Amino acid sequence: MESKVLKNKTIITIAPTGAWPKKENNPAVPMTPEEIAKDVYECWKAGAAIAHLHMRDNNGNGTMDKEKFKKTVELIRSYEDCDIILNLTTSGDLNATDETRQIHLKEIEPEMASYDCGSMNWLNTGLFLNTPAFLEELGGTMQKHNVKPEIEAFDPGMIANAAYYLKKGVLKAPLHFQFCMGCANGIPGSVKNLLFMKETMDQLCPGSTWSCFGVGHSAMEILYAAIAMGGHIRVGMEDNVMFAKGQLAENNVQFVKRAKKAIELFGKQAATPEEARQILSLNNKGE
Amino acid sequence: MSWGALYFYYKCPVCSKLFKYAVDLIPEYGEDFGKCPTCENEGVYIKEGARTLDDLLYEEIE
Repeated sequence: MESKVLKNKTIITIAPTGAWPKKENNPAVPMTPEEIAKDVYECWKAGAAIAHLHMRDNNGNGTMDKEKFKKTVELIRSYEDCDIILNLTTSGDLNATDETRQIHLKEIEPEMASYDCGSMNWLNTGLFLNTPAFLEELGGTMQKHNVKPEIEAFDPGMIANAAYYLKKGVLKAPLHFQFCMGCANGIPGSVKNLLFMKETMDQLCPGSTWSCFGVGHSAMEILYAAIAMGGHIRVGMEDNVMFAKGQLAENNVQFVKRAKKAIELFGKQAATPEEARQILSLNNKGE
Repeated sequence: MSWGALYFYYKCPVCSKLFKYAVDLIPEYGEDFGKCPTCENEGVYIKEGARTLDDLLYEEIE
């Protein structure tokens, strides 16, 4: 049972890089392990409790190169005062294999990793494949290495899919969802749709925690709604390279500061990493 | 993994204004999706995709 104190806490996840934006979309997108680590540290100081990490190859394209993950994690952990929770992607490269999408989890054993609970079309140009065989294997890997899945749901069907894997034992309760709103081929970003996602989750996977973000025009609408509805929030250049209409983001810290301010204006507080660990029932000491 | 918003980019055939609509606004705008925000004429479709280098040249319709 979550304490009254924790109910007043909102977790801010920073997603600094993602798989698609490049310097040409926003020169401030961190791409190298050094840039990402420094960015994450600054975001932690600004109030982020979780960092969701993607890697890029030397050409700036998304990669699941485990050595890049290792290097970045090592650099972040070299900041001895930084206790941010690390959440590594399992979907950073559309050409990756089932093996390369999870080998970094086996070797690094991060506290969290993403679990994309279904397949869809990526920007109407490619396939974002998460086959049943892969999802079953990934669930097993995560349980074996004590990695908490963050279930990315791009539409309500993916929540139903999570319920299926929960019943099957591939996933273990309590689940934690990330509602991805406004991505092409996913559910459009609106408060009405966010409410539907939450109600679907409450019905199919009661007792779960949830976070969300909106890309593009819905970013602020979803952020404020999540705070009001008792969810947690994700911000950063993976989802939005613009800070406001017609205004490129200066850096990821700018997003975290705004999120923290919104939380405080509402009368809540940004969760520390330790508080986030309690809220999400994390019991892996981490990498 | 997210992939940002997907846009349809348009040019107005009457006033030459450049503008864009995120595709997840199709349900909200309905038949008005793709119309020029200034003169309300149907825009000429130029391209689609995520944000691009010249993105700021196109007014974002929200």
